[in-house]
Amino acid sequence: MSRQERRARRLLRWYPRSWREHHPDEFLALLEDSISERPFWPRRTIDIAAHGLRVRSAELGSAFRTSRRRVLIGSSASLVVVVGALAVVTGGFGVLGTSGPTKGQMPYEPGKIVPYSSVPDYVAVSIGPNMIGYAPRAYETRNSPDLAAVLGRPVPIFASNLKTLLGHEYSGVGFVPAGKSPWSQPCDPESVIVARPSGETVITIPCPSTTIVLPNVVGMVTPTGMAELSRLGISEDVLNVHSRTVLPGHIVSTSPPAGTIVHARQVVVVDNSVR
Amino acid sequence: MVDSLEAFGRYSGPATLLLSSLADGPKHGYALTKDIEHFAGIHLAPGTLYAALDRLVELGLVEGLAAEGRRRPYRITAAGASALRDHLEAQHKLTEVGLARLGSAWGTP
Repeated sequence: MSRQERRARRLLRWYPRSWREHHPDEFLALLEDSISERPFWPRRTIDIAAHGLRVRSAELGSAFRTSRRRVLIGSSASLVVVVGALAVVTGGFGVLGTSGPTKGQMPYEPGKIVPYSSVPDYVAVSIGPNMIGYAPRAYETRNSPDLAAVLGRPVPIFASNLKTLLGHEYSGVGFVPAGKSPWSQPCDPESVIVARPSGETVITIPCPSTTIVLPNVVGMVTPTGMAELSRLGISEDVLNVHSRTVLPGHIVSTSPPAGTIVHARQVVVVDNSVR
Repeated sequence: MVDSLEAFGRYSGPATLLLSSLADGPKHGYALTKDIEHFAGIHLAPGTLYAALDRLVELGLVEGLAAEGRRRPYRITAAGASALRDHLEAQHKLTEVGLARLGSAWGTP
């Protein structure tokens, strides 16, 4: 192994393995050429270290997307139940079809990181050994100084959100008795008055039994994209995510993605880009 | 006009340089560095070069060709050419306005 190659391989270690495997030899060859041409160039080392670490943190970041969801509606939190400390991983969440909201236990394990995707939409709440109902999921806020603690800590659920096991509240749908699909509920189409510069418009929000093909709002300015979804009768929740590619205030992605068939009033998570 | 290179933020500089270099034909990493140094007088460090290249590939503005030995040449796509044109035209307009205003207020050199 030549001296250049040794130095190049050492520099390459700043990048995570996945990245190195994606660019097997080409980047190493470039580094060797660069080292042969300019043996002493401190900026190269700084540049490689900075970009390598950035790739690593981006990989970490995608695993720890956390949110500022508008879920904790409980205004006067008289009682805060710490779900995580009580919940056990049981698996087999009561999933109401693939496109509907999920409900189940908070997948909490002490000291373990809980991925965002594994948290059900409605989290079971227990007091002691007794499960007393479901509450909309909640997250710790971003910017936690300790990345490993994000979502790994118990998530407080306000008691005012709780419904008994006889049924539970679905966002935009209302109270649904146990054993019934929220989409089968009878409902009155809601009329909403929207004020626009051109004047007031009345839009009708269809019942959950109406299905809608989710449009592509990625890349749109977030309020515009959300207005577009609202116009179709979809509810939105905003999740702030860091993006290197999408300008702040624009939509990075939606969950579920565009093209998915959703029910009216179903909550679609809109990922809003922030710096 | 939507300037798709704007999404690069602080990387729009390297992205513009890379696309401009690839505009006249495919090049691999080292050839890109040398070419950019030649026409712009900027020596792109390897990490910066590949970060911009990865983003351009991800956005479909550039595509990787089959590797030639250890080196992989990259080629600008039609979308890349149009994004570069839009970006440079916007820059060109800015240059013209700036020079014209300098000329009228400060005189031509």
